[in-house]
Amino acid sequence: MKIVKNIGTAMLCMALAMTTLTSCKDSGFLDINDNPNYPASASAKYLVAAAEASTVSILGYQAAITGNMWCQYTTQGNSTNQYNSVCSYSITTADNYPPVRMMWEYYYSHSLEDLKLALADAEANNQWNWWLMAKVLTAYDYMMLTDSYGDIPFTEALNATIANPKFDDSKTVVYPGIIALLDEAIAKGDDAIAANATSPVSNYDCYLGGDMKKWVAFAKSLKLKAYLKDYSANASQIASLLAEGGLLEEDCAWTVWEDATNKSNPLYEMNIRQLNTTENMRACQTFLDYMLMNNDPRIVYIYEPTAQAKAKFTTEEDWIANLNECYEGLPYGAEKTPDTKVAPLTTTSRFRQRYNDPVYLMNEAECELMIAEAYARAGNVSKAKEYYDKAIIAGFNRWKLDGTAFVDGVYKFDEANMLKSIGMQYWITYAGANVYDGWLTRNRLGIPEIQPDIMVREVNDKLERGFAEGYVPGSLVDATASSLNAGQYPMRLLYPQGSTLYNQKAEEYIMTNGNDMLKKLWWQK
Amino acid sequence: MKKRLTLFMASILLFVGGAFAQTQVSGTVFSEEDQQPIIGATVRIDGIKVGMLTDANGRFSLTMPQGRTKLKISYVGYESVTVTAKDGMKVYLRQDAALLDEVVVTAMGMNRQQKTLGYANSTLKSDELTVSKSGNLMDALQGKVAGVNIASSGSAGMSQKVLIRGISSVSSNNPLYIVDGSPITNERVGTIHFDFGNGAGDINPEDIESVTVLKGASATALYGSRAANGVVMITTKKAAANNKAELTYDGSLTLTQNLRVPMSQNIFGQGWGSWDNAENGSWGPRLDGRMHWWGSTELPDDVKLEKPYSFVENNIRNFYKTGTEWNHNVALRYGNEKVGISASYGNVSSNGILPNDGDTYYRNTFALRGYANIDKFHLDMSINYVHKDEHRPVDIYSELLQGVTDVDFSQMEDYNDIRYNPDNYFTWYAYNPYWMVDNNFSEYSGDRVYGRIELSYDILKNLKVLGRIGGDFDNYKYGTKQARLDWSEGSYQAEGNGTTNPEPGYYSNYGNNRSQIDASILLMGSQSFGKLKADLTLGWNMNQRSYWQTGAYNEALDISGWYAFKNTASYSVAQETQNKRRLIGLLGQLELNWDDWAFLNLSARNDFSSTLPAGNNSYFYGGVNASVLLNQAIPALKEIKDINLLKVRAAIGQTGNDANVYMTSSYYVPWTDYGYTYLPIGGVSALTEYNRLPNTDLKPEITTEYELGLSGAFFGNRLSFDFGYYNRQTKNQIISATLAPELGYTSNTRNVGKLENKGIEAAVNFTPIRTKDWDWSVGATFTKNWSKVKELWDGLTEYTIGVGGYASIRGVSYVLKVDEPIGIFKLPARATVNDENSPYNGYTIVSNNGWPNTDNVKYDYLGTSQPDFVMGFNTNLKYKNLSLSATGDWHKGGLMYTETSYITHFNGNSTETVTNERDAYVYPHSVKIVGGEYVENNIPINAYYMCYGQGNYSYNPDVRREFVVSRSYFKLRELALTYDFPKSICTKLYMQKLSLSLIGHNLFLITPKSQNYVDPETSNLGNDIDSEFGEMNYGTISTRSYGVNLKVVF
Repeated sequence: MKIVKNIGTAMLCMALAMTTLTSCKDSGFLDINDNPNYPASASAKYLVAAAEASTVSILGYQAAITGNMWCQYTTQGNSTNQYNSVCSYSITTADNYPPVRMMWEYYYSHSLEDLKLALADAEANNQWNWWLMAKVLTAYDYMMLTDSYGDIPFTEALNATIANPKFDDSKTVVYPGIIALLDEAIAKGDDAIAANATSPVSNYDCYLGGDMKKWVAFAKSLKLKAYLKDYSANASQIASLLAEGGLLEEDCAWTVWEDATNKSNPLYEMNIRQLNTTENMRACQTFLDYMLMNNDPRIVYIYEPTAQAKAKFTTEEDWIANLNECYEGLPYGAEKTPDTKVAPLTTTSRFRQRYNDPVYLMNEAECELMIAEAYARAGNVSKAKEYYDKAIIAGFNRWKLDGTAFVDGVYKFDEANMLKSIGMQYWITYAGANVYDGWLTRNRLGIPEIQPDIMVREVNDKLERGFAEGYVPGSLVDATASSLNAGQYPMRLLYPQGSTLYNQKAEEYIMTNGNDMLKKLWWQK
Repeated sequence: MKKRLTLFMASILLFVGGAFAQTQVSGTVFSEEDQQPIIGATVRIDGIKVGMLTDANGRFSLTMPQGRTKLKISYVGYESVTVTAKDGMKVYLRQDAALLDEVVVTAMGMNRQQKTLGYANSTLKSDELTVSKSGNLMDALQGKVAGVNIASSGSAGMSQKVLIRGISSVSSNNPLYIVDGSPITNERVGTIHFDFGNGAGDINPEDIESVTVLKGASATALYGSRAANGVVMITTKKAAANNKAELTYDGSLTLTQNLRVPMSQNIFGQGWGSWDNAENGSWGPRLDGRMHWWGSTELPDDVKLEKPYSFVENNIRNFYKTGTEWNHNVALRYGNEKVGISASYGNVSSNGILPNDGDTYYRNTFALRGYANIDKFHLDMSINYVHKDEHRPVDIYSELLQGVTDVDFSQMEDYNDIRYNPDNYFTWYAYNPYWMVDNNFSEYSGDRVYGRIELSYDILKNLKVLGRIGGDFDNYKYGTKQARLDWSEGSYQAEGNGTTNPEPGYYSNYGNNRSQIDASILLMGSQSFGKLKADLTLGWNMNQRSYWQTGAYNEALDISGWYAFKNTASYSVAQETQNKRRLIGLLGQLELNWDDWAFLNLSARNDFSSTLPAGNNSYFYGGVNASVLLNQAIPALKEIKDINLLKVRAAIGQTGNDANVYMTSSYYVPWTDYGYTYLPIGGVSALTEYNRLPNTDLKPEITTEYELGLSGAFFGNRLSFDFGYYNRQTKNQIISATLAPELGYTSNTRNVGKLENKGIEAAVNFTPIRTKDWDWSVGATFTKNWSKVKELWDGLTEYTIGVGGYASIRGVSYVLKVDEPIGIFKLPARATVNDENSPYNGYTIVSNNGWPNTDNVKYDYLGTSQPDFVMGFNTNLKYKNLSLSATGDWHKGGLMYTETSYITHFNGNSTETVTNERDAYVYPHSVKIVGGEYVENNIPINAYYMCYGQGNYSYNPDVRREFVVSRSYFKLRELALTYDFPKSICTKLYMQKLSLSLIGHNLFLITPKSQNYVDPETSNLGNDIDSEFGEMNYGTISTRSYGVNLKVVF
């Protein structure tokens, strides 16, 4: 049978082809699915650096815009619209400014996840220096998250096998958890110092130059910051923390920026280098007029003189000497009032930005103020004054200015009303630093106060100085085009869609508790 | 016309000759329609298997054996006749109008008779494909094929979106393109900012003999993993077995114009609240026609600008010019039974509608095809070379939208004029569009070679083995140039920008190498057992695809006018990426034919894919389909002469689909491309875990589909129809499932959910008039698809389909929601009173500013992007040598997002922004909150603030609703008037054929009145599910074209 024979031959050929295939499979013909473009592992060193970068890329950008606007240091310019929605509090659950979406996403899926992997790697290799940094940053990130949103996933977070992590109570679960993380870190201080002696982190840490002592100090200051959320419950812990000493009394900030695309201060990068106009962020009357009233020269480093004034005054000394002539601001809000015909761009001050503006996790003046606050709450007036005064000096020192005259001048410590003094100084000292903490702290202390239904100035549709009748200088005001009602102010960020849509526990949580940015968090006043 | 359909297969299966008897008979076979001789018609002596094919003049000559008097004459596409043999006879064959005996190409390049197929497929012939000379193959299919939705953005060379039977996958819905049996690459080269077309656009329509669209899983199962979304099978023109040397020239010139520009309000002029010379919006005072100064304030007195404050008609339209497109094609063909060769050259030169040659497309295609039959070996090969050069503007349309109702773009054409130059352009917030065209653009240049070699060997008369290797190698580069722009100190623009910092410019260039190798071995046999005929095919297939890109970008040019990576004071960023995937398949098919009226087809395939987890990468699937010709099977019907065909068909099939590359393991990426902080900074570099959770037990995506169909032809095929129903379920979708970030990852590639598409497809053709001189036919197609998300995963009820990498655009997102159609638009709900005890229950809650507030928990779902139905219409009217044909299509329903609406709302140019003539009002049925209580709202929205309330969604979230508009439209796709010169004239000119046509493409577009923004087909979000979201206003606008075509055959 010829047919059969031929079919047989053909079948044999097929069989041969299939054998080839099988052998191909064995020799890895199909085993080519590992990504050739990227490494399959990373060590703690690079992971911690990524965690620092991811934190800074939010703090230095969207959080910076939010803090600057909501603390009313700056406002939206009257010729442009970029930050309208943040100024008018028209916030959605997918927003970038404020960082509703990005902070949640970057802190959990980048920063905290990378830190988790870094901790495992550092622990396996006894690199306690990297371990310490990773532990403290983990605590920092969680504190930032819970302070921004309230109850958050904590005990079940960062575990891909739990698809719907539950929301933990901020006060009773998350905060004790953060304290525990910091305690673990502080306990490993000596090991970290020893590890750092053999294999130093040095400049691979962009915040504290790889100094493990400073990291321990930072951890202690973070503890103080956490305890201050509820002084009465933590009075004894605060007392022992102060007694023990070793708190951070310097800046913890990323300072090594380069003057190159995407390598400079993130807000400078976005708002100045890459946006098509540099006119969006402008001096806000709320803060400017208060500073002018106090004749505070730090204005020079926070705002640019108006274009008009620049033609006349060219040096920083000139500007300091002529603050009232050099600076002008717009009312807070997102309305284009006064309009550019009455108040052209040349007549108002732009927010002053440089490529190398540091991005702060904590600033020195803030460190001192926290200690001052702790003593003030404990009723220790002299210690409170001591640190309050140090804070003022530190605040001026940030720009190499001498604040001595102010310590006994306009910012003289009010011993009868210690918290008011401290609260106002927090507000001042966060300007030009970690402004987002400025917003959080304002909501913690209720200082500065919010005065509803009033503007800073009597005349609002053109630029004329003079406080409105009944306005208390240094109080925050309603936004000119607010989507909130009079006197209302954002107390927290909304839970982002990225969580509420994909984590069923998050959806249940907001169904029960709502998702309202006016809702006060447990430590807020 | 000489019929030159390939009858290669038929001819070799036929016994030729047979000389053992008496009478010599010769004759000629003609086509009844055009009285032209038919080449290659089969002439058989009835009752015995002896016959021959007609020659190039339609002639045959046979010797009739004793006792035989009848001849049976047949030809594909014509009705067979049986006639009494007579020397010198003339036989006229009638065209089978519905071409139901047509041979079509099916999976793996096998030729089958249309009537035997148990699944839906649609074939278009070359004449139908090149009516409007659009230069793009898929353009030509628009409106002609039921169940296939094709959208093109209009400009020559830009990409096309093809969806077959709706959206069935969240990851990929592109059909597989097969040219002469081998797959070709169909990747789109483009971003949101530019579009250099997709792979299928490189095929010259003039080279194509036919296109068959295979829609269902049963039809495509043999093609395996990539055929789940249907297959577009392209058969190129070849030399026929009896082609005399023939030279064809086909050339056309078409003129293009813009089709749709957004309609502008004509009541208010420049300003933002009040008049402002620097604004790029029309929120100013009412236009009153008074003379008024405008533009830059820094101009010398003698050139200060003044103009009437009045509406400029057709402002955007006048910016564009008439484009030209030349299309030349030359083809040479020669063939006999042993060898055949065809060579063709095509050239498309398109200079689009932008001024200053801002939009050009040049495509040169060379094709060489041939076959050789040597003994039992058959060699068939083709090789195609394509060279393309393109030049596209960057974001020019977006710039045009940033204009003002009373400022005329066209007067600013000379951007070197001090009044309109970059330093003095009237608005601070946009550029002179003429300057943009010349200074911001992207360029593409590419060389591509694709083709295949096929060798078969006849082991036996009805057993052959075939080997085929196909390759597709695409080498291209593209990049963008944006000029550095230095502002003069103290200039109008420098004042406005608040800085003399230059616009730093941009330069990028990327080299790309994309290749595909596809090899198959097929063993094909057939055997008859009485009335049963069986065909068996067994095969092996291997496919490898790889891609490699390297390039860089420079975001800050140091020296103006020099485009190079080295031209930077800081750094250029180098980028590199590569990927490779392999797949091996084993396949088999058994086809059974009972007495030429009942057909059964069984197919199966097993794939092994490199992209699935090692050791678990094998998957099996297949299909069954059957058809019965009722008019043959039922004796009663057989008698009725007016029924030419009545066929029922049923099919069920499955296809599997593997994953994308590198989904099964984790990796770490440098901290770059995140926000505005790219490490290394200060010598510190960083690695972050890639946020996709790897999946080590990924399974293939499986599509299961069944379909039923009925087709018929009546009255000598003058009435025909085809009706089909399908039901497609896609499960284990491989998607990048979003994870809540608190898991530590933001996505996970995994198998999820189930999507369902059910639909009906119908096509009707009717020829009411058919006389010697007149012929008029009309046809229509109808498609309706019901889609539904059956389930997602882990009880999840909603999944956000990312749009261009974003979860939402301006608060509008595009989602899958369980029990809803696939792809629906969603936006935050208006805050309303939700208290049954309140007298204000259901009222809108307004903000302090009088505008409705947004609810942070609730959302509104506006509806699906998918049309209710799609209808295509075509008609052809022929009088003697003159014919007129037209095609149109109507898409009813569906929604789309339009960024054009956003920007024209924002800047007050949209007609919607003059609602209530911008007068103050209190938002109706609303309450405000005073002291925690609802109080009837009495906050009037100030007229001055209409620029916020009616334009800006961040003040009035409701403005967002205007960004989602109806996608409905009717388009007149094609209109062609053709005159075929009479044979007598042709002969005098030494031509075989000469014809001249007037052609038009996309001549007009009708959309609902409220949708006066864009051509709904425009999208620059790719050509997959993303693009269903809508349009992002950076692309070019769609065009209409009309022109003249000349075709000559020597």
